[in-house]
Amino acid sequence: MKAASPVRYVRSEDGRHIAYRTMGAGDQDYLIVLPSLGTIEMLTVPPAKRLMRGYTEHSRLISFDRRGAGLSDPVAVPATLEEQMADVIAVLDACGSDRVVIEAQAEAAMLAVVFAATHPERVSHLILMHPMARMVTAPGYDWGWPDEETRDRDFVQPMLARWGTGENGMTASPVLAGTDSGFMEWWGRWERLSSSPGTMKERMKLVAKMDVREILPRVQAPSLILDRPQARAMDSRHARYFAEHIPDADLVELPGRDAISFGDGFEAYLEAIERFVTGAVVARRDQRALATVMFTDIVGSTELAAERGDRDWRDLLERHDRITRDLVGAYGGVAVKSTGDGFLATFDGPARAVRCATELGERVGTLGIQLRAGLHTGEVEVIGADVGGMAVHIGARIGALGDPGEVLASSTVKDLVVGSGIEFADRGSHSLKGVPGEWDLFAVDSV
Amino acid sequence: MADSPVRYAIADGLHLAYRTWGAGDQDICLILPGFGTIELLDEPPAGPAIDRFARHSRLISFDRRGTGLSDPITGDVTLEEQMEDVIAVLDACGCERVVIWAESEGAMLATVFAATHPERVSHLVLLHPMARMTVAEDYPAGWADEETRNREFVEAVLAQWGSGQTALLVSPVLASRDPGFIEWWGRWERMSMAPGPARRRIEWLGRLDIRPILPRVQTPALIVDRPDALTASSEHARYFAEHVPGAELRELPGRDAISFGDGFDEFAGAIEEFTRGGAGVADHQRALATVMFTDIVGSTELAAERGDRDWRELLERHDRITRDLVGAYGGVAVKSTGDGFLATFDGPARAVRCATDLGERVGDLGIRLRAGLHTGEVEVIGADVGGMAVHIGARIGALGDPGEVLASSTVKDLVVGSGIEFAERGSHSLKGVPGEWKLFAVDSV
Repeated sequence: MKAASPVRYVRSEDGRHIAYRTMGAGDQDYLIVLPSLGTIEMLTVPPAKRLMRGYTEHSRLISFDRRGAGLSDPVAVPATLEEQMADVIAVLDACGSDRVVIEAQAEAAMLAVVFAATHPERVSHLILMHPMARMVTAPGYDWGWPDEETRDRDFVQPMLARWGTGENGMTASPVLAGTDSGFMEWWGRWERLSSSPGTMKERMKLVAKMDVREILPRVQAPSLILDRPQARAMDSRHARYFAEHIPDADLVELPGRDAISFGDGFEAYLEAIERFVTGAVVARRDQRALATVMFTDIVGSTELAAERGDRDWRDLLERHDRITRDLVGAYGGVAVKSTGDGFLATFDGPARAVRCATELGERVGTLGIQLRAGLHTGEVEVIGADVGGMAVHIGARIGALGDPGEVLASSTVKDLVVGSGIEFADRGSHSLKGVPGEWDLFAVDSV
Repeated sequence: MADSPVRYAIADGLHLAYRTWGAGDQDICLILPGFGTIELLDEPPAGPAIDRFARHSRLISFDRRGTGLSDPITGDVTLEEQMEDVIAVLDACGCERVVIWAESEGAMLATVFAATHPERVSHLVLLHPMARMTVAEDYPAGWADEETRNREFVEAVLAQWGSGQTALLVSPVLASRDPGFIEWWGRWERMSMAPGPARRRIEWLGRLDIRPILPRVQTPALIVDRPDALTASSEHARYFAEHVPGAELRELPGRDAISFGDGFDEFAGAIEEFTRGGAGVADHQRALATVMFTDIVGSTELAAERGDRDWRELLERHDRITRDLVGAYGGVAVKSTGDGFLATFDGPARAVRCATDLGERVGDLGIRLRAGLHTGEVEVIGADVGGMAVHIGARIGALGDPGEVLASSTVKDLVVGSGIEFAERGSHSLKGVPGEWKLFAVDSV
């Protein structure tokens, strides 16, 4: 393998140390997003090393330990996808990498797709092996665990009981376990160094609540979905779901009975990736990206304007606008435009949008006005200084349905902020004018 | 060598990774310094050192909470919590009595543990121990002050964290002899802690001070110093040898500050020779403990005001609350003193929190307490306790303002990392007790 750089640390936006390392050198950057289980400390040790070597012959490989895992700073509660996206950005920036091929497996695919949809300018290709959009069954996704409890009892608890022994490696990778005498020892260490049992237990609870199904249609990067039908540990229907829902994704079935990439069949795995990355026409990147849209609206503005008189009302509106612009900026969003008696803003991160909308309602309350706010995460198109796209319409429709003082959000927002501590109250199913389907809406209860 | 897999014990709901090597009659527990992890102990250069002990003993080691393979913590830690870790691991191994081997600042935990649990420790072996990191009036070794230490040591270590470069200072011989050693040391750092917690831990160490504990150690202690090791000042070791009763000081060859570096054979030989000597006969009746004295403010006036019957009822309720709460905080309510209580605790932070909580609870009865706390050697005499620490605790309690929890500096030094804050209450002489005593009122727990 070409030179592996030492492990380095970069500070993410909240100051946490994220451990990362690069291997090899080349024009093409690959980023491996490790699953919850895994650490860069072990990537340079056989058998993982042989896969790394496959990349580093022609490329620069970048990988990092997620916050709360491996060599990176621990977290008090498991991280949200949004926080982890900031870590990816911090690592790519530290490496001076503008655009990468992202490779992720299993549950790591959740972070990878959300990142690719949110930052299309940073992701040239997406390669997902045995990806999962959620862990628990849902209508139209009925090959997961029947419920969180069953998953905990039948999967998480037994796994944790064997944690650090290497025995879990036999399930994930029976061929390696049977042919490589050092593999069980490697897997035990892989587990031990990536997480303590207590940390893993908490993270598993969070992962079971995650759901990125709504994000898949928003991925623009050319995507390769890899599946090893003979790998018993994974159900191929997960991969097929990705292939069906990510626009123009390629699904390639590979030989091999191990569920981990560097196991049985790793040569075919590397070939498929190389063929895809060198062959895929990199789509012209347009101005579309996944974003969270916030619509706010002053309740009863006509009556208020009449009551206050023109001049007072203008003053009030100006103060409202200033507060909104300041607060949206403080939460890292973009105040796209005033809608007369409200605002349209966009955010990279849905949790920040929720918190901004909530705080905004409180702040302008001191002016004697109440807001309705609507939030939706979807594909937003940048058109000059404005934004467009279906997500903007949906955000507006949701906002209009809110009670005075309420922050109303789509289920996409709710699914993406899992782990943030934000709580929602169910507001039932609604049809949104001009938008197909039924929409489950949720009012923000506490942030 | 029978080398067991990594296992996890549980303390306070946290998973603590531990491991044993060998199967001899003698149990030796290696308390790793602030950083380090059992994950790397069986790889060279540590491996051969571990092997040597595993041939004749069972060696036990573990990762402290917040380090290595054990569950992380996000705040600070206390020595008290780390003592729980030791107990949990020894219990998980079915180990009743053990030789404790510790190095550098690992000696702080080892010493406090041996003084608190003399029945669990047969011998104490400390290489380059430290009682505190900065100089003090009667402590000649260490950094000039915390600021200097932060600037010249903490920042330098953290800037190179995970690179292995500090090995050149700590262990120059191994670093020049073994080409893989710097790489090993880099992993040793990385696997033991991420830079964020490492900073917190190193800063925490700078605030610890266990000087008052040294005279309370009953365990036979071997203090080992390598005068040729540049990073460890021999004055630390000499201080230990002078203050731990009956301690033996051995100066050994070697230019590396870590045990398994240059001079390991002599070090191992010294441990083996020392532990062949008789185990300390632990005086089970004496141990380090925190004494709590409470006293109802103005009890005579209150009794007169309330009348006999009311007062008796009040006292009964006060006693019940006290006994329940002391039990809940893991202490022993030794006896009522008529209008107050004497209780003892293994851990000083628990004693502080119990006293504070107690003051609030009995406030509901319309009474106020004075409370005094001191950590020192307590002798168990039947169902009662005695010893100087008990007298000191009583004297301190008597000096408190109504509603105040007053503590000695020993208590204050031992709860570093607990988040408990104190306000200075000046220097006092305590009747019948030699010296001047700095006292501190508990500000917030």
